[in-house]
Amino acid sequence: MEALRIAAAIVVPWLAGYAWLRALRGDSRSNAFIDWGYGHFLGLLITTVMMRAAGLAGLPFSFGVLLPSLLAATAAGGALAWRTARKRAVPARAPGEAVATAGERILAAVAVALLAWRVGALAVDVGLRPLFPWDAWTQWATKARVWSELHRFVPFIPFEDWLARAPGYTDVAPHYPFTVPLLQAWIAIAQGHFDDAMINLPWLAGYVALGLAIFGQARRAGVAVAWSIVAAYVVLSLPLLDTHVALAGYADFHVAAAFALALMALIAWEQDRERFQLLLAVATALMLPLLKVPGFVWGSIVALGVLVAAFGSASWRRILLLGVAMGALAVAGAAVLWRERLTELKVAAPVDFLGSLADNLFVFDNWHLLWYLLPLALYVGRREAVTRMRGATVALACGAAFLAVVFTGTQVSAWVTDYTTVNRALLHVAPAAAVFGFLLVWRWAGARQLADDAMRAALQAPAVAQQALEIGDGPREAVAQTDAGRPAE
Amino acid sequence: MRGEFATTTAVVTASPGVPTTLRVLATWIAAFAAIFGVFALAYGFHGAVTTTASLSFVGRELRPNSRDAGVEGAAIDVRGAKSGRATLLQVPLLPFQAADLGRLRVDAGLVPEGTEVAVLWVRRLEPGKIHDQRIEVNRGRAVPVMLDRNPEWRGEIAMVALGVKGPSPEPWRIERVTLEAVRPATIARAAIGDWTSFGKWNGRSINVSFGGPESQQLYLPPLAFGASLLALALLYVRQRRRGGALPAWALVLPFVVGWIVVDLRWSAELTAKAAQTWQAFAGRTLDERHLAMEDSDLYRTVSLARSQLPGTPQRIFVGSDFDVFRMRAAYYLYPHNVLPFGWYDAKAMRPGDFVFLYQKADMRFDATNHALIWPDGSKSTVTAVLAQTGAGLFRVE
Repeated sequence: MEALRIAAAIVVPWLAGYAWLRALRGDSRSNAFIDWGYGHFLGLLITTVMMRAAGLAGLPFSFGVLLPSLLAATAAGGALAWRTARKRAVPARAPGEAVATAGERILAAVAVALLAWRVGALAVDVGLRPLFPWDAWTQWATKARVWSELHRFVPFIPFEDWLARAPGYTDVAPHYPFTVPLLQAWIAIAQGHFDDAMINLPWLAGYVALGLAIFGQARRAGVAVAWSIVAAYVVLSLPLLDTHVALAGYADFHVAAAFALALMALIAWEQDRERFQLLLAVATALMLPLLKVPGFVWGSIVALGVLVAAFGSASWRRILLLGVAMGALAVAGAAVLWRERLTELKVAAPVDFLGSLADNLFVFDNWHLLWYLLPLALYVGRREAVTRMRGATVALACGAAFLAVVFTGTQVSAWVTDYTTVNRALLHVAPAAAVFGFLLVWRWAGARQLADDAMRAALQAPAVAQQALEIGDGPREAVAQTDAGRPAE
Repeated sequence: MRGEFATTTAVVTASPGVPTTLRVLATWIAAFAAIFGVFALAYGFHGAVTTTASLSFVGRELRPNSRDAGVEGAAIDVRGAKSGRATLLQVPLLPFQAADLGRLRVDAGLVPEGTEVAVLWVRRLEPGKIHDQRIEVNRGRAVPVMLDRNPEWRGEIAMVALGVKGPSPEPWRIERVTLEAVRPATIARAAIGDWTSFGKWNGRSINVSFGGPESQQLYLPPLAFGASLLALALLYVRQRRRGGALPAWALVLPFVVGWIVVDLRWSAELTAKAAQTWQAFAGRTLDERHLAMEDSDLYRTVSLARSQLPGTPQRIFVGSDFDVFRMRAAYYLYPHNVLPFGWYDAKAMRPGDFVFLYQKADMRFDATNHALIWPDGSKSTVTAVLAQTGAGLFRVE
């Protein structure tokens, strides 16, 4: 019975998110992988918003109250999805794709095998190991434990107020967003008691969902099946990401996943202006400030990317102005919302941290080869980055600038040298950067292949051969041809 | 959209077949082996092939300094000393040049939980100064130590010993201790040993993944990336000779191989860690799993304290000399209304509040007068709910 309740606690929110995405997607080019992948995270958002509403309404945090509410939300989304599906014309099938070669199939099989093995290994740690890393039991699960055991939402207050006998509980981060502890509390409420291993199941489910979403978005972007699997594998094999699932309990995994989902949707929207993708980008960007304080900055960065993409062919000067305006807005917003927390950041001369940073990026195995390959991807895909993916490029550049300012201009630089925060901060942006780099390389490879084919065809046609040689710029022509497929902006 | 599908078709039609994939793989392996070989030669070849023979001693030849070590056949068993002091096992050798023998290997059984092992040495010219280097334990086995990386391993070494310290009553059986010369093969073995040294999850794991021990001579990611670059260069040269350009996938594939190789190591590490977790926790209740963790004594004490508390949430001030115990005790005491930081004396307390103390050396409980005595000498009248050595729960009156 307990296992059934836990299963329901994972499956029902996931179904709710999926149903609502199906209801909202209309006749978009989305696919089931996108719907299931993003659906999980939307389901988490629905669940925790419902818990907040229940808390505000003074309703008890009980399975008997929360599960029916979620089932109702699922049913409503399902009914709407069914209704819109009936109205929708049967979508035209995409043009057939050439069968994968044996080499591709081997590559995909290796990636799938490694991922399947990894999910099993991670499941052992998630399911068995009681809460382990420091912040998990000093500032996140503290709230989950109180809410789930009291079956009600009680406030967390600064310890000075606690000492002054103000009503409420305290821990080391009473001001932190509640989404992650609400997730943990939801599992504990479903299970019927606080099991500080099982409360982390949403991390494992989120890991699987992130893989589905990456695969789905890669397929939607025209990446072949085998290489879409490789794209998902590249992200899910990042050691720091895996560690944050194995030793679950921090919010960083969900921040990283939400930012990656938002960025992928932004890239898709930038490509063909499909409203459903804009909706996905906005929804996942809105999740970010609900997860962790820096999520406000990450969410603002996605918003900036959307604006830049919306302006399409606008001049870089206008984009720069937009960037400055959004940056100012983000800083002002953060200052209003979290001024106490922000005062902890002190302007300071950076310590000598570049060596430590290089170790963490390139020498230790935090990120496999990601930071070696990203500059290469940017180089080969530079044209794509500043044309068809400029919104995502600006968003990632702003993310890098944000991290650079924090690490070089404040006392946080010391946290690079002791390896405490640097990788957790990079984790927020790494999955998004990996997908971005992968798509750049894919499109570059496609353009290069087209160019080679065009050159070969030109050389094979005797009448045209002379002319093609005179032009002498076959590859550029082919790239221009590829871009011609882009819809008018 | 026209462009996307055109892109897809173009790449798929020209993507790798098995023979070419194998050629890329073979090139990558050759590149990897070449870089690895150069590295091993650079660090392991010092101008001449060293002829110094290894020095090897069976366990019973080691000279212990306490009765906590005893000979068992050809081996020697070491138990954790009740005094908490380290047991030293001196290696019976004559002075030798540090440069000749730079690697120490201990062939032994599984190192008991909590036992720490180190190698200690004295240089002939500094007889009063003992240097030491910790011996890492991986999956219960002592990892060979590269002493030549330690700046203090130089000159003439007059004494070498093993230091064994730990609480375990279980014996650690040492079969043999060997000091080896550092050769290219030794360097290569050490690097592979580093990559396959996985260790346990620890407090730093959530922040950094070193890819083996923190300190290594050759980390795998830069080597794999270097091999990918070299493989790419080799493929490029080969293709140029045959005429024509490399297809896009051929440019990408060496990096995919490099990624997978690095990830195979990480997968093995994750698997080893999952196996440790399984071994420690599988089939146990939540209470039993907590009791199998490192803070089991704290968990047991807090559980006892919780059982003495009223069912409704109480305000509890938690104190300990150690951050980790204060915070962890508070976590275990929720949903009682706890404060594990930001208070230092009795001023904030009122009758009816509780105080939970664990390993707080500067406070005492006066049982006769029912009083807690604070570091400044002030007293609070309390009722002891739970009072035991090193821990207590008190109700403020």
